[in-house]
Amino acid sequence: MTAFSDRYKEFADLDAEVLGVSTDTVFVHKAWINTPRDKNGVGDLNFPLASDTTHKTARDYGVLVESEGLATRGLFIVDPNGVLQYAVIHNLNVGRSVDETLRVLEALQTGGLCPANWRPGQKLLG
Amino acid sequence: MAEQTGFYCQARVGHPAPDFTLKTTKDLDTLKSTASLQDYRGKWLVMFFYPADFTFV
Repeated sequence: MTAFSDRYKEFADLDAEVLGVSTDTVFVHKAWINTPRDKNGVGDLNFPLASDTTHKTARDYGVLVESEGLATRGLFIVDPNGVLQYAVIHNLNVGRSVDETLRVLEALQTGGLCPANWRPGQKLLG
Repeated sequence: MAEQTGFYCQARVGHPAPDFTLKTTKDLDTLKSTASLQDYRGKWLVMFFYPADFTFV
């Protein structure tokens, strides 16, 4: 969470909004945001947290663990037309890569063919 | 079809993202501000799920 927040400007520079979602209530989200990082909180976050208390959104995105009522670590990139362009789902124990998320976002925004391991600035295949 | 969990996952890459309307912390004072998929039209959206507050993300 803080890893994404610390690099929020890089997402903003790519005209991307960031939204974190869990099945917690907004009241718990607020408590977490108001808790300093050294006390297991996130401190000030640069993007909002959303509450999927009905579990509908987590279910729709295929990340809900029904027996526990919580979401696995799914990350989705939606383009400006509302089309889902990228989906990656980690099980509970493994965090995501901000670098990889930014790489994929930049690759999508080229609108071209980006080969394996493409990095921003490298040439496209077409 | 996600057989092991018995529900149909609507999210498919290359297709419209599933709609949502969720309460958010956009306004930390009122906690009444919502976010919907339509709010992000014209922008890129990076949406990520995590298991629970007060855990590592």
